[in-house]
Amino acid sequence: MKIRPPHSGVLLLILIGIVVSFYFLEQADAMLANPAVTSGWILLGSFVILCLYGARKKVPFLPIGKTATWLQLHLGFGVISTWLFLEHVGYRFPTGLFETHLYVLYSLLLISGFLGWLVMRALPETLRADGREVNPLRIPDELAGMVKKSDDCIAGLEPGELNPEILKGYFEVVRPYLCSGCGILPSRIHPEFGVPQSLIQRLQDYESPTVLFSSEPFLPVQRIVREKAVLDLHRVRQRWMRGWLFVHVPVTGVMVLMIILHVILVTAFKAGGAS
Amino acid sequence: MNTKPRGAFDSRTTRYLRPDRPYICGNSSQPCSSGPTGSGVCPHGEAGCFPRMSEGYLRKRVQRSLFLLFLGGLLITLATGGDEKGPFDQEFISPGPLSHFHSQFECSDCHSTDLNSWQGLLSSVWDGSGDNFASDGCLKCHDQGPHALSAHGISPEALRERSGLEGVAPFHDQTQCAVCHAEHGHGSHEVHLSDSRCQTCHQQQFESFVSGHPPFSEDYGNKPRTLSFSHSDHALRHFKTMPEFAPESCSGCHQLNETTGAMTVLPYEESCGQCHTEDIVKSEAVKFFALPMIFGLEEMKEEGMGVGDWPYIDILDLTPWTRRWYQSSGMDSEFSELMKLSELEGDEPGNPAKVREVQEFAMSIKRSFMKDMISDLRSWIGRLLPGEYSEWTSDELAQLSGQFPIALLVKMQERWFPDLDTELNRFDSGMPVDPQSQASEEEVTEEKPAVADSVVDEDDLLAGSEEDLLLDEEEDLLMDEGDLLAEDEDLLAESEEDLLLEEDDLLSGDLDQKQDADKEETIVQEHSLEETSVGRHWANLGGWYEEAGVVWYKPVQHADPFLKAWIEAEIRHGANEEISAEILSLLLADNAPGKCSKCHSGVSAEKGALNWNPAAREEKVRFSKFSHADHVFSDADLQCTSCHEPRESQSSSGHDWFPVKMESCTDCHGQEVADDCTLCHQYHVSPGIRKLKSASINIFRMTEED
Repeated sequence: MKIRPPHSGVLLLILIGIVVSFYFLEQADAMLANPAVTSGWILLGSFVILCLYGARKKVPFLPIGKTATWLQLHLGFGVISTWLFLEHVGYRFPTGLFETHLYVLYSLLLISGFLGWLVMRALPETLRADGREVNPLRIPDELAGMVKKSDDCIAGLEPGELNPEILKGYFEVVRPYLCSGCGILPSRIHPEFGVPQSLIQRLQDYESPTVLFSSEPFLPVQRIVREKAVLDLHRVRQRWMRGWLFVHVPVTGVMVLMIILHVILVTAFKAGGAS
Repeated sequence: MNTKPRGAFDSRTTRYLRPDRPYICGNSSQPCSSGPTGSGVCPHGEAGCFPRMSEGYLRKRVQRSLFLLFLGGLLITLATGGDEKGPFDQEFISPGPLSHFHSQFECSDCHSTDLNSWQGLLSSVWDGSGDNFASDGCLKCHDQGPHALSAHGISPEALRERSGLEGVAPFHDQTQCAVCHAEHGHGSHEVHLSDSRCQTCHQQQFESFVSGHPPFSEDYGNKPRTLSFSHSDHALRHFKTMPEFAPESCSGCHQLNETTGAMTVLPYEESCGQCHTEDIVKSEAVKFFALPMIFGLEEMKEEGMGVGDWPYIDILDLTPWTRRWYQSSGMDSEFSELMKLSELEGDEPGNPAKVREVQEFAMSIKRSFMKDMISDLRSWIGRLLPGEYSEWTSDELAQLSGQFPIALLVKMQERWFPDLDTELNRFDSGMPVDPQSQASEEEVTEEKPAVADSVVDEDDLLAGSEEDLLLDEEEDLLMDEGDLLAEDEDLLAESEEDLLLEEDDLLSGDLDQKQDADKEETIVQEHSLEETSVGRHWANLGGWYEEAGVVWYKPVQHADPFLKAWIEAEIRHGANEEISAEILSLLLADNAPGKCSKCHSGVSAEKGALNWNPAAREEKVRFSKFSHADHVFSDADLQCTSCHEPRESQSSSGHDWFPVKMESCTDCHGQEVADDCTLCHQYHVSPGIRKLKSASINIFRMTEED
């Protein structure tokens, strides 16, 4: 896994963010302010900055820096906000019901973000390892092409060229496989035939896989099945690369709601400080 | 950089799927180029497919659904959270359980009730007022005194004086409790007090305890003593002569109070009492009540201004209690000069006015004594107390009375004023108090019936009714008849019995007289009441007695309740009264009864100090703390003398120990002495820090209706 070195400007900005946060926390402590309140406001500020990354993606046409830079900023503030979050909660698990919800959701947000970062760092490399680079949005189109190509191969065969059992197996097992989705977990690939194990097991009811995959007329179809298996793996990994966003983004929206309520309650019940 | 567009950004003309389209073709094997509409409908109608949501659109839908789900859930939770629907009734928004001590409180006990409505809550946020109840909730129970919110909980002026910053204006800033104290934690009460918080005010910063910390004060470790005790005298002198009483170690007299962490002195009986009990029992008695001596009683009697019986007082010294008794018995102010005297001169020839004054004063004393006898112990002791009678509780009065026995009061009356009532009656009737005074017996006998008749007449007038008159007449008539009959019987009885007796006398009279005389001579004079044990001799184990015309109290034991109660009463309620000062000088003198002040230096009339207990911490502000419990080990190398170094002669402050040095800490802890200020220092220095206004705590959750 390769980690891209952070942009120096972003790194500087993050460092400044940490120093300023430290300064405010120390100052607040020295001014007898409630440390949880101080860290809470700074945390809210960092949360807003983190949300700005999502907003930035909605307006790609604006000349406000590259998305990659914004991503680095997002990651940096993600790290800062993790520390601020722990400071805010006093390095303990809350006991109130509402605060527990907040804690769990924010933890989920941070963990999903961190996992997303890991996935985004680790998987692209594996996607390139087989020499293919596939735009995930083009995969359905590619799959449609494969099905068509495979059907053409079968249609182009002479009558009697293929065993009827094999043909039956093609229409009942292979073609549905080519049209099927990829799921969320990668299939186990048979080391000899390069096709999913599950497919071979199902084909055994029609013809021996050894016979099937050594049949000359079936070879083009086998190649297409192999390509589908590779594409499925790509697709599963692509799903992983985007799947964490199904947690990260919706939880962010809910967090906005929860944080607003939290701020209202905390401000309303503020019991005064030093004067 | 290549600025050439990669192609038209139009999903409708490209064969690839585009993220800006919410739906994609449902036919994954052969997606049609036209694709579904924006609302997810296939243009081929029934012959077409079921379009699927694109990944981005699905994510957006999930996000929106989750958001609405949470919002809905939140609103439902708040709407159904409690009966009253107010924020205080919402378990959901409660930040957590209260600590054990506060667990029974309602929200409104500590928070403003304005916040118990959503409208009030939002307006509090809008105007930024917050919970305006602030620290009032805490101070309802926690009695922190008038300067609770001032720095260190003491008055700004006192703090400035203590800090020595005379030229600096007092620090009037207020700090709310919630600045450092947090509730709704994990069932425990949290305190946020860091070094940097201390340094908000304490600007003099230093590296650590071993580097830059101000040195200990010159009396550190030697707290003000409440007992006058010389370790060196005992160790070097007394215990050498009486080794059987010498303790083996410090723990022979001291023990650790594990609760407070303080090192205390063992109870008197286990420490000092082993040697010093006799000192108390053998100490002098308190001369409690004594009347003035009157000289010239005979002359006064002859002048017709006698005072009747008056005790002979051996010790001519009026006690302060007697003077207070004069004052509170309502004696006329014209006797103010006589009230100061222990000797009254009644034999001043040619000065009848003076003699008359002495007589009237003496009779006033007798009248007050009479009042006491027909009253009760509570009233009697009440007249001897400083301050208002209503200030005293029954317990205090019981101790102050020393359970003075009625038998002693009766004995006093029998010995001092045997004819008290008769004398007072005669005096109040305008007659000479002494029957055999200047006026002759005849005059007295002539006057007496007249007085008696007049008294009867007055009674009759008071009785006054006609029935009484009729009854009197009837009874008189009956009595007259009875008298006549009785006279006849007497005559008969006298004649018969006398005759018989005369005969008997003649026969035996002479013989009996002779025999009786012989018997009297044979009685052995073995028993005599002339030498019975009285006064001081009888009361050698303590208690009340009367001797030489004076009432005494002898201390019974250590911490004698009577003496202790009087010392406390005079210090607390005397208010610089002259008599109080005199009583205290009597009770707290070096050789005073009970010898209290020999050891109890914590009790002082001059300082108004009343601290008997050597273990009791003096009620004063404390900025630092130390727990012996954390430092006393069974390690032989770590003895008391590791920190407390004895000195052979006492210091000016009465200590026979050198002050504890900083090296005592670093010798063990080295450089690892924690740099946390609060390890040794405390913010709340008020002695009332642990006090609770218990009446404010509604333990049983009683409502006003209850």
